[in-house]
Amino acid sequence: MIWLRAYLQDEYLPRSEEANISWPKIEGYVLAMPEDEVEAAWRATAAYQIIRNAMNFQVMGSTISPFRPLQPSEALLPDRATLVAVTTPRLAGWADADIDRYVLELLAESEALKKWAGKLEGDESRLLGSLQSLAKKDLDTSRGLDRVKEVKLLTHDMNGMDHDGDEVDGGDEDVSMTY
Amino acid sequence: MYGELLQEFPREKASLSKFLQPQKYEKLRWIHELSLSRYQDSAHTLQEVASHDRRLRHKKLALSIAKLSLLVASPTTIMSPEAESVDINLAAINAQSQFAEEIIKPMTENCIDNQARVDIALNSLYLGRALKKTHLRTRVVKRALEHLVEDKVVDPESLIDLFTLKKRGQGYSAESEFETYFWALQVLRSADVSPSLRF
Repeated sequence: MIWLRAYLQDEYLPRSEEANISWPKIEGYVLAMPEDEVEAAWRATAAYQIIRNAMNFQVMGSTISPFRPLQPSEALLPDRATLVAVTTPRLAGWADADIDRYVLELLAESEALKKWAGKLEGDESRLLGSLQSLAKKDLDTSRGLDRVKEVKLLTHDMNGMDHDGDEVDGGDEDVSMTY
Repeated sequence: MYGELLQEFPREKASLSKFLQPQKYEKLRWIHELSLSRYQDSAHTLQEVASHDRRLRHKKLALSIAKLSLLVASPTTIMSPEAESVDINLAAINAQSQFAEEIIKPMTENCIDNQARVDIALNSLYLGRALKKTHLRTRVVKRALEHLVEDKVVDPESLIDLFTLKKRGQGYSAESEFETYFWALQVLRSADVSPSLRF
């Protein structure tokens, strides 16, 4: 559901917003636009950002084990009766009729998602593979930049001066923490 | 009174351990266990405390001390599976905290009360083409927002709804825009539900 809602975010934007996110539309760019602009369009999709974050999470790996996000075809809802049984304890205090209506809403969303997942099915693995490859490239680049920054900081520590010869005050350095 | 109970009877530590066993004393028990250097037990007790606490900050504090206790109990470079599990739960709590701090608070800082905060957040972040007032899902989102602004723990399913039903167009970059989906994956992983319930 998380993945499919991300795909829906990418596919069904209100017309007033930036509408270059649609997957087929980005694929269409390949013929007409430079590679860096196509990549930038992919980077603006929810699906790409999830993949990038998930891959980063795996690489960080020190204390938290990797996990594999669900693929769209794995994330469809169970049948109505199962859904009612699962949902009822969570919605304590709701009337039965409201719980039933809520389940119907979820199933309606599921139908929309199935339709979207069906559209994706043929291209799913290829698209996800491409996005993973782009994410790997971006993560490698950002780790490269981090290493440059580390070396620069080390130089600060050893010399008390930065590479331009200025005094190091340390007050405006960004400190990023990962866990 | 509790301070005296834990400190004034050094010869009665065994009796005190027995006395503090019932669940109603778990918030004292972990302190007593730490004082006896029983770090593993203390970590277990703190995890129980965290599982019962509905206040986000208290839950985070209990899990953080539990993690410290586990690190003291097995001081190796490789983290134990139990400490990893605590870490996973902390990641989910951090996701809720970050969402509240970075997304909800900036847009509701001038609101007069929590009800106004909920209404503003609901209107700005959720109501639109995909989610309408008449939808019952809106009631779920509203209830989750009510807990969120009161700094209470939001249940995993509702938190995932908050993270994944948010409208596009609130973040300053694509990366920050969709960080909520990553948080949703972290919450899903920390939730103790079987795969069949993950919808």
